[in-house]
Amino acid sequence: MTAPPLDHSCSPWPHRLAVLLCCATFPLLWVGGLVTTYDAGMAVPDWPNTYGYNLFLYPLETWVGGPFDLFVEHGHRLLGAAVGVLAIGFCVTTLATRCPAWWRWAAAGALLLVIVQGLMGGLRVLFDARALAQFHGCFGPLFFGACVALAAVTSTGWRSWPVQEAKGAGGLRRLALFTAVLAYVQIVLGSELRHVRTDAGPRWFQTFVLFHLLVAAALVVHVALLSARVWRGGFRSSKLTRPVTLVAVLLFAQLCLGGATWVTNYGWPDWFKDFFPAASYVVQAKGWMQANLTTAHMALGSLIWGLALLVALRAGRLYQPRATHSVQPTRALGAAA
Amino acid sequence: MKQRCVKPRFWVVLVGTLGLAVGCGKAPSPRFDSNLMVMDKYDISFEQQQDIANALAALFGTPDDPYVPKESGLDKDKIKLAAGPTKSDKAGVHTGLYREHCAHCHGISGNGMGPTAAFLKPYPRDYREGWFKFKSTERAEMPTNADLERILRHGIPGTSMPAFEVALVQPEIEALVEYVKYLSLRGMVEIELARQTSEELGEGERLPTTAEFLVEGVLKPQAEKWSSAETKLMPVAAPPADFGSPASIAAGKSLFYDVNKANCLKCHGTTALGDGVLNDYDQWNKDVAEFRTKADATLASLTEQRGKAEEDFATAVEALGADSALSEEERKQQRETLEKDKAATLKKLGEKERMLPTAMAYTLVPRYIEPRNLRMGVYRGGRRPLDVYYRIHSGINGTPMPAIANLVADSELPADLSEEEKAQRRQSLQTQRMWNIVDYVLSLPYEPGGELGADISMLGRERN
Ligand code: HEC
Ligand code: HEC
Repeated sequence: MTAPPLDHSCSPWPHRLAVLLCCATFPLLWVGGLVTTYDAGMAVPDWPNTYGYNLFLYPLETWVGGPFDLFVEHGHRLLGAAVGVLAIGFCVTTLATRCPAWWRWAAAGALLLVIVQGLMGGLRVLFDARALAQFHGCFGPLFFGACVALAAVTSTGWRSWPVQEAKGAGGLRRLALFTAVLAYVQIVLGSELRHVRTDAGPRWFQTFVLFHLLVAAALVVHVALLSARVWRGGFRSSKLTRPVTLVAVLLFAQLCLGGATWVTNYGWPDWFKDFFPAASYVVQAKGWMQANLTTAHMALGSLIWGLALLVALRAGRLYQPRATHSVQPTRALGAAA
Repeated sequence: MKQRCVKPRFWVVLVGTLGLAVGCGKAPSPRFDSNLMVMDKYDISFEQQQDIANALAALFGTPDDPYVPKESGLDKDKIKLAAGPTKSDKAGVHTGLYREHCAHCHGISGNGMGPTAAFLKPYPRDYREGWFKFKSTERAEMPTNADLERILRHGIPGTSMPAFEVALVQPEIEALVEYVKYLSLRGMVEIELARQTSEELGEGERLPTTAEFLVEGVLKPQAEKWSSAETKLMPVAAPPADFGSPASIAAGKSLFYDVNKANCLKCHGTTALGDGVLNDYDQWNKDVAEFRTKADATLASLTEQRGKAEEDFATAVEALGADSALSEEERKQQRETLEKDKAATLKKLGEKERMLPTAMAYTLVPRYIEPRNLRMGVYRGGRRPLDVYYRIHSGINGTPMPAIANLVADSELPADLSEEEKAQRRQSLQTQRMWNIVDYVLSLPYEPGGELGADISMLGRERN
């Protein structure tokens, strides 16, 4: 008897679910941003219930037909619950299908992150703790990053791509990683601007605006360097060129959105006031432009961070620095002697 | 085995971290800031400042738990809607409106020192002096509810003051108007308490805490200013029949540029581009500039002043010793008085040393106010002819823009009229001429050279 040929492939389902998790988390971040934009965090005073109803049983017509703040806040909770269910589904598929054991641990880790995130959201409501709201707001993108990482490492390609040794690969990896970290730091700085305490006084806000601008400039430089390195430095794999180009394009859009966010919230800077339309511009509080541009700016920040992380992961996976000193005895060998 | 040890510890850490996050996340309730610039202006000691803060807390409560005596004339329910932390309920009723919509610019205390303030030009309004710009009442009076509602609804174009017509419904706007009045009244009472402490209390005397003094003596006269606003409207006569005609515009033009009449060119410039006087402060910034100069000087001379106190004391003691006419007992007594005086001076200097840096940190860099470029056709106080009439009639309170001067020379009135008829004639001529100026101002953007007119090359012209 001959045994059937050995099959080393994994089930495609974990990867599909991981991608789905990314696709569900991004809108969740967006709606979470809307909650902050509309100051709707306290539109539902209880948790995990909504006005006494079980989250999933809250009547549709009072949700959709109710006040906008309640619509947004309850919607955020429902979407959050959906992401939680997806995370559970992801865990289950890794357990039920054939896949590396560490995926299961990673899946459990992701589930833990959602649970913590959900708890933070709940505690923020129960204690009306605004700083916790900010923490919750910064943790969301972190979870999104985790989803992106899971989607990346569970893909078929990840297991089959050959590792290439390349000159400068170490530099590329560091640059990509640092760009991703910068993108996340920028999210944290931005969250301080959105969640600033109303009794903080002007200096605090001023300092954070300054750093937000400095990190924006640093990001522009790093994304430019990274794109140049990928496109012209011998790393022109479509697995890198595509996301890195997308990051560059999105970053440009993000700069425009940042400027628009400022103008729609605080009006034009003084230097423009001798020109139309700045001279006659009236800020429309919670107007369509203000609310959506601001929220989009926040959401796009997370997308940039997710993609930058993807670039960093793939750069690490695809390229290895050339081992130049392989003939020299390593320290471990010396120590063993 | 090992895993079992790790797991409970892990949960402890997780729950502990979350608990800590809630603990830190629950920031202390915001408090009203004391008006340190005024405390410095009136030389109020720390003890007296505490008395004033206590009086204010008794009269107005705290940001989370506001209180209004009925003598204030304010509506408690509206204030409650606007005050406190931001929340909303199933019916969509929002509370904590001020913190949701205004405090990040105007500050919890209404001192114009919200977090975003440093970036905005003009700075957000400090309500505490009770100076408001765009209103239908006389220059020094408070605005009416309708004036404030208009500002909230339409915002102030060209500044960062937003329009709230989309964001807020009528009861919310009314609640916020009431809250602006509450913060303003509170600020005015604070200033009045400081003034009275400095000017009307004797040495070592404490601020009375009786309701009679606080409510009748201090609160009521200030509240009166707000509740009587509706009776202090600017008189407005209907525009003359030729309003809008070229003749009216021409008449307005000659008044505008006449240094003996309206003298608008002084600030708005011979071009009306707003390039006349460019180095003047508005009242808020002027106060800050003066305070900063004085505080800098005080802080720089502290050591010197301390030395002088010691020196004066030593000289006086020496003189005391040399005065043979005094008995031992008297000498001792006088020396004690001298010591007390010295200690008081040193204490005061110590308090200044502690207070002034904080007070300075609570001010923004003073900035000049620019007269408006009248060729842009942008009117912050509203673009109706009536709005522009208001601005010209009473000027813009808190800014250098003055109330209109007398536009009618005595020689223009027929000599054979009675005094009463003369006054009447003068009044009607004055009104008519103000409308002429309104006419001219409103035509400026469309004049050749105006930003909305044919001469495009003037667009965005540099000021110098
Ligand atoms: C983005 C910042 C910002 C926000 C938010 C804001 N304001 Fe203002 N506000 C300003 C600025 C700046 C001015 C000063 C405009 C000027 O001096 O021409 C001002 C002026 C005012 C004035 C004075 C108008 C006058 O006639 O002198 C009032 C009253 C006022 N704001 C009330 C409010 C209220 C109430 C809210 C909340 C519903 C609010 N503002 C929200 C920036 C803001
Ligand atoms: C002492 C200087 C000064 C003089 C004199 C002066 N203005 Fe002004 N004017 C100002 C300043 C400063 C402002 C801007 C105020 C502000 O930004 O709050 C202003 C603003 C205005 C505005 C804009 C009001 C709005 O709603 O935005 C008009 C209109 C105006 N001035 C007309 C006149 C006319 C007409 C005269 C002559 C009768 C005149 N001004 C005289 C300083 C002056």
